[in-house]
Amino acid sequence: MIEFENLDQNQENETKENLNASNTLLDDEEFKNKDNIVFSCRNVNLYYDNGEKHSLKDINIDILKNKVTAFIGPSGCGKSTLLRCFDRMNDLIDGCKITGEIKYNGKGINDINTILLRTKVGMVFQQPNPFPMSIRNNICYGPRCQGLKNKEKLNEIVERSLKDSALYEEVSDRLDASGLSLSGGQQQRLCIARAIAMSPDVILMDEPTSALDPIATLKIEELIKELKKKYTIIIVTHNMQQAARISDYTAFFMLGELVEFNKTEEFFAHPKDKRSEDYITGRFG
Amino acid sequence: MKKLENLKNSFNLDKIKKLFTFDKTYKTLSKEEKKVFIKRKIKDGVTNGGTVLFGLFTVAILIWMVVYIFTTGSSTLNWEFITSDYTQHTAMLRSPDDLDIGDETFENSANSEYFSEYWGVGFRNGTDNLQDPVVYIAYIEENSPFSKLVNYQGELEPVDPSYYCSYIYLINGDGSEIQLNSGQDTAEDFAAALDKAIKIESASFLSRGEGIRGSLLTTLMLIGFSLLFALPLGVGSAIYLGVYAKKNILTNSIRTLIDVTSGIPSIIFGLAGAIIFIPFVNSMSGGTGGNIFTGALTMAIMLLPTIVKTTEEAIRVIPMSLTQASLALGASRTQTTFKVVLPNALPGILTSTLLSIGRIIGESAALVFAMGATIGDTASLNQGYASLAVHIYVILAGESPRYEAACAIAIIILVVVLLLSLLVKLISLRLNKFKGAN
Amino acid sequence: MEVELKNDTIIEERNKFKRKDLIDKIVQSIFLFIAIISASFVVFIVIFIMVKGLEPFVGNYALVEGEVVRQDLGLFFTNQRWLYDGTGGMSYLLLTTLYTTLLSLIISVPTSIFTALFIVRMLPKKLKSTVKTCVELLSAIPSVIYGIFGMGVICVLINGLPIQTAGGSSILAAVIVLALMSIPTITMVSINALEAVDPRLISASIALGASKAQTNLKVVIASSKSGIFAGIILGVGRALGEATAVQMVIGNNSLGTGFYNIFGSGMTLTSAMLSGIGEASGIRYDVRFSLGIVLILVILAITSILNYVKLRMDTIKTKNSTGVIQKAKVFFGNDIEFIKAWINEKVRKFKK
Repeated sequence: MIEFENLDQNQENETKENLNASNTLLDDEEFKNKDNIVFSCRNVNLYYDNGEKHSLKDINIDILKNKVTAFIGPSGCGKSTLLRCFDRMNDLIDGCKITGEIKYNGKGINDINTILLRTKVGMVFQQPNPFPMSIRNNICYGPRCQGLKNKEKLNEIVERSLKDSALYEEVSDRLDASGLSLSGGQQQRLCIARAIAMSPDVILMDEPTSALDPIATLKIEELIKELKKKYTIIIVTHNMQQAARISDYTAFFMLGELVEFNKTEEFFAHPKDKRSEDYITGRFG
Repeated sequence: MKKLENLKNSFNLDKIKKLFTFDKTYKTLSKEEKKVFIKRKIKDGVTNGGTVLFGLFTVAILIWMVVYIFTTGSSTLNWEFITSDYTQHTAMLRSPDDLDIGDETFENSANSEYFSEYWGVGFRNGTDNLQDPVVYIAYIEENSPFSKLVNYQGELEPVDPSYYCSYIYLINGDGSEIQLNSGQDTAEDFAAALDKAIKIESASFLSRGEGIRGSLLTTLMLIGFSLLFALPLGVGSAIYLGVYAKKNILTNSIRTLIDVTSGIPSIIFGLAGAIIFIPFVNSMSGGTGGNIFTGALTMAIMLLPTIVKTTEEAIRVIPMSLTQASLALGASRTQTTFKVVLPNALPGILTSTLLSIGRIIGESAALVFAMGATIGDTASLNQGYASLAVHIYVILAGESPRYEAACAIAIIILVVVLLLSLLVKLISLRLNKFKGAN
Repeated sequence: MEVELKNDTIIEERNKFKRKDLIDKIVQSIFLFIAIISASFVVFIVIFIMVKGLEPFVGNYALVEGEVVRQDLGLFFTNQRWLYDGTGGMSYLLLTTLYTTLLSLIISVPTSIFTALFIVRMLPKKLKSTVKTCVELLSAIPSVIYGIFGMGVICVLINGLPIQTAGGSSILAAVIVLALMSIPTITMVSINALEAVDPRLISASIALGASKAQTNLKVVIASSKSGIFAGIILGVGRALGEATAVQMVIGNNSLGTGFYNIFGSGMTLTSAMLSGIGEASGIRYDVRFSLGIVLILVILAITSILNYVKLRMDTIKTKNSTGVIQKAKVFFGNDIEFIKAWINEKVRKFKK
């Protein structure tokens, strides 16, 4: 028995040392206050295909409240996978296994009801994917699923989320038109409005502008800057400039590893890791 | 072993536990939230349960149908049923006047259950086509008096051992007379009574009847002729639409009209066949009423949309590069059509042929009008007899529907149709693989 | 010499190409001819049936010796009872046809949609393809076999009910048989429609906190509406035009009363065409073509209405136009609000 305990202690010590050694956890003032941290990952490993593919390797990261955190990296590096871990969308994939600890507001996300978690953590996808319903019904979808039936409240929600997503003026006269009748950029903003309608704490964005033209992209970026006053935003992007423009913190992923995590200005000005530097300067990616 | 492990992995205990217990977080919810939570759980349960119930219900009913057909029909379905005539043949026989039945006894060499030693004939109990009990002749010993019965013209007529005896009128050694009837008397009575008799005054033998040989042959001929008419028309149209057609009003209207054809119910085709093809064919052959050709022509029109669509689909998936390569090598369009397009569209044509055969076998309403609803004992070109499906319809429409025979035919149709569909499925799978390899 | 020879070969070559071109043109026109023939059959069918179906109204038939009979045009529309001797009316047959089809749809549509949902969204992957193949096979089963099942099982079951029926032959039996027959077809088309649903929509719904059941109902079914509807159109066509299976179980009674009594026997357009065909001749035979005209018109009308609805569905989905219902809502908006307020007031008063 005693031996086992010792072993456990040894392991704990080791992990602590590892944590200290990893440069992906920041020691800034803001990170010390635990109330400020929305998501915290410790030693997160993720395997696809029943353990055959190791997609995330020992990820340690803290996400700050009301900040924009950008995940960048070459494709296939695991940034989207980590994002999907935050609202447990990986549960839908067969043969996907996650080890380690992900905490949402100090609670392990596996101890939270998935539906509850997903109402608190909204998600916007790469392709704009409004439901084939009217604009109003698209936005009311989430609240209705939670059992909200009061029409006035629903209308209120529609108006608020459309205003928050800067879409209200463009569509206020045709709320009953199909969501698919909007342009690509408008559709993506509708998807953001749909996520906002649930009044989440966090909005996860998985390359929200990759399918859009530059003008629509600009609008979405402006919107994200507005949104960070109210919500915590985690955004996955291919576009380094975009990350530099809109994010407060940047995490750089490569081959399933979190290579570097830092304040955005710091990261782009003085990358600590050779790989980050190569990526920023455009040697690969 | 690996399978077992997989099974264990898929059998996730946590998932099942979650079904029965609420999450840990449930306790932390407020009262209002709990209410919503439970309401939702119930709603989800009802929806999921309903979906599963509907799915299982459908599957169960359809399985029930197939099982009903097979259990009811399997006892009737045998080789004799398939090869014998539908009409019942009768034979009225008697023993010849000069027959002297002595003390000679015959051995029961076939081990019949009920055997008349003096007459050398065995009987068995059975049922006729209405499922009433009758007495069958099980076996006739060679050179026995029973094998020397004559008909009323006095000619020797051997009794077909598959016939049953409807009645037999006997004269005993003491001069008394006795009549035995199938249904009232059993095979045992027949054998016992015959042993006392010295003369058969008259006996009526009936074949079981209700065989499907005629209908089966008619169906086969119908399939042949229908395909003969339908395939050239269908494949030709498909080639035009798939290879030559340009986008214009003519092509559009051809497409629309063929689509409309597929939406017309079969009974309308039957009516059309009755007023277009029956007079047309009869004016050439001089016959009256429907025959195989009128039925086949009607079926051919019915099959056209399927054949055109399937073949055109097959032509469309042929890569453009293939036809272009052929044209670039200096082949004319005609040569390209016959040497490149047609061979590559063969699987499509085969698929459409199989689908068509299935349709022809199952069609009833149209053929009642266009070919005829009389059940025949043989197939003939200038007389329209019932096909298998019409046969079912006819024997069920009468006063005493004969489910056993109907189900027996249904088994044949079902098996053929299911096999054909499976074959079609296999062909398309092969094709998909082929495409994937490219 | 040499030049001439060259010229000869060139001319020969040219002729060869000309010949090839000619053959191409001839072959193409042959195929065009075949296609036109194939397409024109349907026109001939309709024309011939129209002509033949109008004959009973104008021709002279001898039903009884020395007496000339023809189908009475007025009675054809007004008489509630169907008879073959020239005095029958088709209104009852038409109503029964529509009624049985509608009732069968009420059974088959939800069953098919939920069955498809069950197969696509709930069955494990390995079972899925097997069950799918089974449904596909079942949709190929000819109608006569459904007729046998209807007579041998469903009619017997209905006969066992504590209600007086004509040996189980009833409109209810026809409804059940039609429903069973169209379930595989509608299910098959629905399965294809459900499988075509964009998986991104499903994950979007789940990310919004909807449960699996809610996603299935609100997103999966809603976004495959048009495909499912196509299946329903197929099912309607099959149910309206089905003859033998219906004729076998419906009882073929044209008394013209109580088509709403589902336990009573009845007669549809198709079953009237098929009943007693063996002994029919003269007007008794020809009048079936008049019914054929009615059937063609009904099917044409219903399928074109349904196709129009489907077209609307598709355009609403992609184009920026509001649906009929939405337009109606805008048009009657104030009235509806007014009526609602009025009803609320009444209810409040009543409660007091």
